[in-house]
Amino acid sequence: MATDTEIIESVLEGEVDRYAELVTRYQSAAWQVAFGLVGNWEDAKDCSQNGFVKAYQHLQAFRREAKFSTWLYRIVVNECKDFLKRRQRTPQAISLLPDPEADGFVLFDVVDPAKDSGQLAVDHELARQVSVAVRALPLQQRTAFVLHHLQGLSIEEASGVMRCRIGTVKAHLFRACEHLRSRLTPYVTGGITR
Amino acid sequence: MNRNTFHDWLTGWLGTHPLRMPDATSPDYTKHVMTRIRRASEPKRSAFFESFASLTSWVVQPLPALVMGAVAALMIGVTLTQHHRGLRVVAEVGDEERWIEETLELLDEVEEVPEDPTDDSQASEDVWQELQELDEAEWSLGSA
Repeated sequence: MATDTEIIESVLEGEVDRYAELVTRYQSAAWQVAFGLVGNWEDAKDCSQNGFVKAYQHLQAFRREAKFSTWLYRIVVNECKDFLKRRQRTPQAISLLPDPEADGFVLFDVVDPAKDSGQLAVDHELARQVSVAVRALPLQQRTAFVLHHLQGLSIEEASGVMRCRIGTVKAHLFRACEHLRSRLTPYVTGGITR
Repeated sequence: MNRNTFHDWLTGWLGTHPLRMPDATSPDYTKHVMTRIRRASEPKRSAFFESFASLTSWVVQPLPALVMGAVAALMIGVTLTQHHRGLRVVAEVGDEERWIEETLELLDEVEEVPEDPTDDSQASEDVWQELQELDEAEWSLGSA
């Protein structure tokens, strides 16, 4: 299988169609990152696709010091920030916000064949509460949390995506966990996980 | 619940509840991206071709239309002349070629190529620049 660098070189030499290999390789991850930030699959799809198009348009400027995925995530995160700003400015923004009751709102996979329906319902409710808490995080904390805890990037990689210092990412992660703790403690220690 | 206990619980919970996957098998995703990319990287058709390709350009741009009409009339004229004047036509064909060349140059000068609505390269360049600046400002504030 060709490496990202090999594909990028081919694309830059004129084999535009080979870019599809990169899109296929990273579409799920880019879509997931955007989903974690904007909150619904359709908008996340648009943001991540815009990210791929912009990455292509600026491929010449990609310096290959970082991984392509890190660079791509950074563009996708920027797309999401731009989208969220536009949504904030939209007068009917309230109706565009994700509906916590909708199934698509839940960020996490709760399907577990080993659990009975009662346990699954409890798990689903907890997943919904964690999703609500993650969505309520300030954007920078949410970005750090999504990249590191949900997408599995190292703190160094997350700092590359967010273009800030490692210490700043750690601070965002710490604050994010504190926010989540204050929101979720009643559910974790209370009825839901009993 | 204290900080460490919560952190352990959260890490464990996230470990068993991965982020939901989008419909990764959707072929439309890649297809859509590649369509946009190909559209953006298509070379623009020549200005001369554009004037023929779009009927609206004849309506919107009367001057090129008139010039092209003159070219067509000249060609018909030359054909008739050829029929009636025999060898004298050879010299006139040379003139005609020169005249067409001059006409094409004139066309290039007067013609306004309609904007391609699918070409968003400039717009995206601006957005990219704006995003970059917004981002730098925002993250640097966060880092300070």
